[in-house]
Amino acid sequence: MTKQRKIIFLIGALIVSGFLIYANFFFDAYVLRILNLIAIYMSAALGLSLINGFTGQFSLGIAGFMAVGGYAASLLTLPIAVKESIFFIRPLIWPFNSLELPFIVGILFAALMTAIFSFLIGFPVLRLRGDYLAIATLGFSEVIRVVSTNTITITNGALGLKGIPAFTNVWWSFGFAGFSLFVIWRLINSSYGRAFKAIRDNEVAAEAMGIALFKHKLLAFVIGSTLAGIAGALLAHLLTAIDPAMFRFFLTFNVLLMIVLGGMGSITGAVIGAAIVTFLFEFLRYLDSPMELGFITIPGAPGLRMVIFSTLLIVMILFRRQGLMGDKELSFAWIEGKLSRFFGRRGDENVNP
Amino acid sequence: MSILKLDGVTKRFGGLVALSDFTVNIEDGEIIGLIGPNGAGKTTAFNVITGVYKPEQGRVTFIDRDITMLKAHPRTAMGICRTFQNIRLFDQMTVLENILVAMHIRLKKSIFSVVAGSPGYQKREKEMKEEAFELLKYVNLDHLANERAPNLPYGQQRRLEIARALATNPKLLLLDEPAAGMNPQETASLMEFINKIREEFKLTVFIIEHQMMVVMGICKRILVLDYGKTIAEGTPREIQNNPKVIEAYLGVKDSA
Repeated sequence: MTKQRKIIFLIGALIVSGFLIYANFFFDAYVLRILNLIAIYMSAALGLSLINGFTGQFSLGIAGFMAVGGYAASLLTLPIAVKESIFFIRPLIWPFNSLELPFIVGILFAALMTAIFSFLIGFPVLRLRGDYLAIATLGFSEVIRVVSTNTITITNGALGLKGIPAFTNVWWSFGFAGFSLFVIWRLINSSYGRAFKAIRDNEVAAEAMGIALFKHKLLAFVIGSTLAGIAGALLAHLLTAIDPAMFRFFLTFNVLLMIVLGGMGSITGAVIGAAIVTFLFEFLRYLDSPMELGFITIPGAPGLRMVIFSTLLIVMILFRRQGLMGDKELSFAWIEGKLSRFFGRRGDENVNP
Repeated sequence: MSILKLDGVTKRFGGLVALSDFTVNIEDGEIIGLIGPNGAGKTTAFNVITGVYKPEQGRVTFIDRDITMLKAHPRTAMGICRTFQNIRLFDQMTVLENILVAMHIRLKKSIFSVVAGSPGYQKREKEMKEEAFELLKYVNLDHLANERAPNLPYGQQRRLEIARALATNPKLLLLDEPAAGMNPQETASLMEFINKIREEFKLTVFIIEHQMMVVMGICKRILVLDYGKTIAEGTPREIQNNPKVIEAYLGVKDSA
């Protein structure tokens, strides 16, 4: 990085952390929660973007991996007393019933478990392509959910886990979003990233150029899923309660919407998409409640805001199929161009009064 | 020294015999042509050599090693690389990136050291970029390095595809109809280009081509396939006068 770019990067990082400090002190709990959600979904969207957008392997299993991460971390961090009180149907199995570990250990365990799960699932399904891969990953995601409903001695079944310590704050969520951003950015701009994109662009040619297709698909799948798994762990410790119904296909659809809206194959797109969708999801909440428009009253219809998202998606596919960013990125070169134009014009005025 | 040997290779697709008892021995440094009417099994032969298809019978030997059942990507690592009949570039990537993809096979760095940005990887990345740029300069595409591959004119896309294959450091280069769709002038410069890279990179070249001007012009030895069978083999002059070849291309003379 050049000196100028380092300065721009530092200023950007300072603005974000300044905003977060301000938010942490002055924003109310509701707004903070939305900010946290935005950051968590950013990480999940970046993970999915690596699999779907950059490597071109259309996967619909992200919710399952978020579930694995959420449960794995919560089982370690839940206080022993809480575990005893919520597992009243069947007791929790050893060793989880006697463990109460720090948040960071929970997150690392979540990462390990999602990596193992995604490897085991990816190994058979990544031999499939296109629609078949999408269906298979969707199926496995549902299998994870159904299994978590039935393994009562580990997951407490449909009752879910409650009283999870609220460890997630803006530092954890945005810290991890920053980490995900760094990992994906480094990866995409490396030789491995070029190999991923080559597989997406032309599988036959990529293999002929010596790229081990299966190995690279599996790498992208495991890395992307692991990021989503950690996002799931952070989500569990933000909401403090998780149950299998949270990780339905609906969650995968939301994350997919983010990357389709932002632009598949763009890191910036995934970030912007996550922010817009999460924000709109809360902002449009009033649509679900009864509304009075002058003399007519619309009774509240739960899920009406989803109509807006569907419409948005249709409009997007009709008029801007590549998403907001397409496969372009917000780059230093772009910022420098804008800055130099801005300052350049000011400079000219000084020279010619 | 023999570089590639196909011994009695047969490949069937259902009831169709695409390649039947195909035998060829290619010497190191040779430039050999493969011709035949449409559907004769030429591309199938290439697919068997590069590992896209596994033959039902027969053996493929590359530099004294049996590679019949080897997957496609390790073959590229061993030094077999190809271009495609219908150009297959990486469309969302730049010209330079297209070349760099072909060098990934020689990276030999773990994904962790890449993400962590280890000095070893950064040095390697810089070397790779320099090497790729040099290659582009050699094929006269350096001024287009940051252009997206599909924006290039047809002839230059062909050239880029060959350059990309060269970036894998091949010993044996398989060219599948490199002159397809080219005008005589482009074809002449392509022939010159193939001869140039063959000497520069010490390649053995196996070439499928429909344009007789190319095959007759640069190949010392030609194989003719028809319905998956080798019907003739020899120097360009011998092939031109071979009655079987004329029959395969033009049909049987009506004796009535």
